[in-house]
Amino acid sequence: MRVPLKIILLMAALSCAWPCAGAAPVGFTSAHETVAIQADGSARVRSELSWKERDSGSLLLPFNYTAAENLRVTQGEKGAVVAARLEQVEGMTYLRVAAARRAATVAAEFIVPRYLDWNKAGPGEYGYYRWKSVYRNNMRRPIDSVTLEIVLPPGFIAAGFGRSVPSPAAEEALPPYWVKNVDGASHLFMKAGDLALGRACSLEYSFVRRGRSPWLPLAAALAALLWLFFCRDLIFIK
Amino acid sequence: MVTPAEAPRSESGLHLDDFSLAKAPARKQSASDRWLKYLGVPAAALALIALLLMPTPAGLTLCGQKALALFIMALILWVAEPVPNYVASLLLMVMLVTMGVWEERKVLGVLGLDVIWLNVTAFVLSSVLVKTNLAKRLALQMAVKFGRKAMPVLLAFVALQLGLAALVPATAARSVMTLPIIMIVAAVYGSTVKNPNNFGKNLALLNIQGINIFSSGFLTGSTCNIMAVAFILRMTAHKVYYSEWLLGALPVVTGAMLLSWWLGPRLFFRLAPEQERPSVPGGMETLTAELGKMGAVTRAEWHGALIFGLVLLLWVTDRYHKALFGFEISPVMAALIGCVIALCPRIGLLKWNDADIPWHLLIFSTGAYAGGLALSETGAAQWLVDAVFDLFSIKPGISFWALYCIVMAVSMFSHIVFTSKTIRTIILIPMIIAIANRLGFNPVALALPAAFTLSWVVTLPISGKPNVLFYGTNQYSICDHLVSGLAVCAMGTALLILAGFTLYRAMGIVPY
Repeated sequence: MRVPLKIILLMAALSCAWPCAGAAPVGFTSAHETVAIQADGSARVRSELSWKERDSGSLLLPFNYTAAENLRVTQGEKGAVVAARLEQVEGMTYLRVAAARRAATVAAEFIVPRYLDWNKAGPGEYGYYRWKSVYRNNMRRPIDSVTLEIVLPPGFIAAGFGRSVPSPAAEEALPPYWVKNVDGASHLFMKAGDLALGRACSLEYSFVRRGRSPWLPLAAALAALLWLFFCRDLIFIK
Repeated sequence: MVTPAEAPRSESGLHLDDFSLAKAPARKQSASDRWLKYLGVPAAALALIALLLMPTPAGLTLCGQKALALFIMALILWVAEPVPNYVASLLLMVMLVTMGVWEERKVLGVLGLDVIWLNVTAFVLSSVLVKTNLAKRLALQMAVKFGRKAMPVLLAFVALQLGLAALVPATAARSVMTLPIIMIVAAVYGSTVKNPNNFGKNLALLNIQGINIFSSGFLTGSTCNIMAVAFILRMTAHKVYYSEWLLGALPVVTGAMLLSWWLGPRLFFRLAPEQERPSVPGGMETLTAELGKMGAVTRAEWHGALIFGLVLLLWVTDRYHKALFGFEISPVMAALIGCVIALCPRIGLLKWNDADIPWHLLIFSTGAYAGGLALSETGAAQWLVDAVFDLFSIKPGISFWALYCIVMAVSMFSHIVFTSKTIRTIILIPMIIAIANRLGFNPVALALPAAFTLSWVVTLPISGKPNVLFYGTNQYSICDHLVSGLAVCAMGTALLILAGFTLYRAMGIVPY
């Protein structure tokens, strides 16, 4: 994927003029972001980041949304709550977390009020709604592995996938996305490796309201009955 | 120079008209065929309704579910043939688009895929061999040498395909080379496009099996073999050598082909007494006389051989193209070069009207590939394989041999839902290695024998490129193909299991 020049320049400037001496560089091993889209278009987001080693000081985590409500950040396996706030640096939003040095993970949970714009999403042809989810690494260190999980709004089911970044490596390679329908909810997954500075992984997907139109089954049944009646000569040919 | 148009009409019944594929032929219907036809539409409708109305399974999108429902519906229509197969394919294409499963541009774009172009070019090149009488000469020579009885001539083709597989890796090339010869030999035994019989059925299906299955006998026989070996090396650090592959796979494929040769005409498509010997008036003497009458090889035949030889040379030297030309000429481009020469005025041999291209077959193939590709792209094919493995509840504690049998069966029969051997390799081999690792078995013991099954794509016309080409000969129905393919795959699975207990143990591939 081509990264806009502006973003590269911004990231380069950002890495040179890092705002806080305490915000030590961190090499992230994995990121897992779960976005559960709600019926009103908001989304409950849980963003987890893991690392092997880091220096002391607070963390500046990637934050890919314009606003967040009910922000709650925990660290470690026991889930101890830590202080966190959104911060603007060079026009970009970060999540500043006062995570302890020993912790190997932090998890931020928050609500994004307007994640999905229903009017823009659809419904389009075949009643499909289409949306795109993005995870951008606006840190100055790469993330080894990123998993993006999108939980569709209640009452909807995944129809299919569109473009993805990264795209399947070759024409006949397996795609980096998949679906799991668990407990009546459709979970879409997207995996990307080695997400460098300014890079993003994204997934376009379509979804549709649950429930089946009766017309096609009815038409198929009718066609079968008509065939059985009008083509009965097939088995009575002598 | 004697042109094909000037060639005298043979008294033996081997007219060039008998080999025309361009017009969709009608088959004679038996009582069971008519029942199949009658019940085909309700069966297809029932399958469609059931699959559309079932709850969407855990790992499938709605488009995947629809793709699966439509593919199964089309499969029933192709097998039962209540409507011509090209109508079923067109219906499938329309439904893929109107039900929002696959984009219109993608569905229509299938007609431009390399596999379809390969078909077009293959039929043009086959026309060269037929129109110049070169195919007739080769077929007559084969019939005169081996053709006093049906079984030896069928065996001769098995041997021919084995020899070609060792020399020519491209299955399409082997198909194009042998297709016209097969058609003429079939005609010698009374099986023409208009009136096919069981000899033609056996001959065509045996050659399809030979072309595909013998690719599995040699590590270099197919790209998917090389990919599988690369997966095994990367994920298990076990290097599979050419000799190891040859020793492990060739006995199994040869055994399966011999079984198929033996059982086909005796069990599945029994030869009537009149089909056991050449049915041309005058028998072998007529054929010998016919060959004698052809005289020395004509200029047209040399010309045709030269064009075909050039294409063949490009096919078999593909790995050296980059060194020689700085770029690689794909099999389709090589065939297109041959077509350009063959159709070019003055230097060529054919006029467009001479090119015998069965468009009904290409439309059928396009729809079938569209269905298959939609299955792959929506993830339905992968989901099916996962579901089959899940069905067997593979859990820790399962015995190695139970798992070995399951893996062999799933690998062997999974080609029914995949149109691409590459995709199947990408999905199956890493999955099998992961399962073996999870259960604490040597992954090579399962992955390598499973890799031996990757080229066994013999069940449906869309399972492999040769299958589509041969389907155009009208020697057999999709139902015949399915029956014979399933039988040979069952034999192959049994042989692989037998080899697991014996040969692979001796070779150290599987544990004692």
